[in-house]
Amino acid sequence: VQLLHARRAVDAVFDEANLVSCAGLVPMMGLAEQVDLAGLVAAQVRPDLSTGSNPGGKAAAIVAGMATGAESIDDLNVPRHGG
Amino acid sequence: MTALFGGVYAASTLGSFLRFFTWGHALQLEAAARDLLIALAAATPLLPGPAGAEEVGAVEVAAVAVGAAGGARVDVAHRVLDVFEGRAAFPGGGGEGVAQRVRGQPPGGAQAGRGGHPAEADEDVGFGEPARVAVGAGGGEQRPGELSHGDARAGSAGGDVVVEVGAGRASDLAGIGVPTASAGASRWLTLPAVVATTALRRSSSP
Repeated sequence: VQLLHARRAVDAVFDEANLVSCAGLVPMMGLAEQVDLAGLVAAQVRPDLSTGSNPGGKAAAIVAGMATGAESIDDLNVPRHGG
Repeated sequence: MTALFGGVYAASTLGSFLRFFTWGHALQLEAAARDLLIALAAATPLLPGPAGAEEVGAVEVAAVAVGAAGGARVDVAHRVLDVFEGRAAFPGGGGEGVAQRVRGQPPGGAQAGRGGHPAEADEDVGFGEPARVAVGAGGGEQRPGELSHGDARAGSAGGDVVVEVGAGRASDLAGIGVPTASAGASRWLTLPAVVATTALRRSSSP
């Protein structure tokens, strides 16, 4: 049982250039998860090809990539293996 | 794989996913963006409207230019996208851009890809009454006029469209198909719905 259910503030600080990148995605995608971005997309987008399966997770991944500066399909590799 | 992972374990084939999109799928994605905007407004204080007040804010739909650099792809030249942007503003605070859509025919004459529409068909907006609309071209002459329910129409392509929504009631919004906040929620939740509807549905019937 929790006394308070409100979301606490999330702060991400990244100061090691050799380990991971895009640590700022943690609070942003946390908010996206809170408002159920993937679920909203999955409820509206109805794919008719196998490549369109799981549209919610893929749309969320594209949003994360665009937030890290991706402007093309090739750039979307950034959140997958770092930039 | 399901024995190891409970949720989505890898977001792969993003390129194939993007390429399968048709114009109909783009409309479905815009519907999801509309729902997302409403959820974001409920979860964050980015659009702090006066709860319970009759005045809900102002909505602006303007034509703006957005740069697209092409990222890591060297074969994509730097270009400028001509987009419509919907902004919401409140009497007590600044404005927030809440929606964007690429216009059909940019000034350069090139097609803007899938989802493009002629600019003339892009300007239909609907609001709860009473709405006052001023149409100008780049800060030029303003011609305000009274418009009837759900019949806000902009003028020439490229002109700024400024729509002021005064005393928009939830019943009026529901009458034009805008999802409204349920009983007990703050009234201002209806404003993002108006913004999203006008900014994203302007040419929903190609």
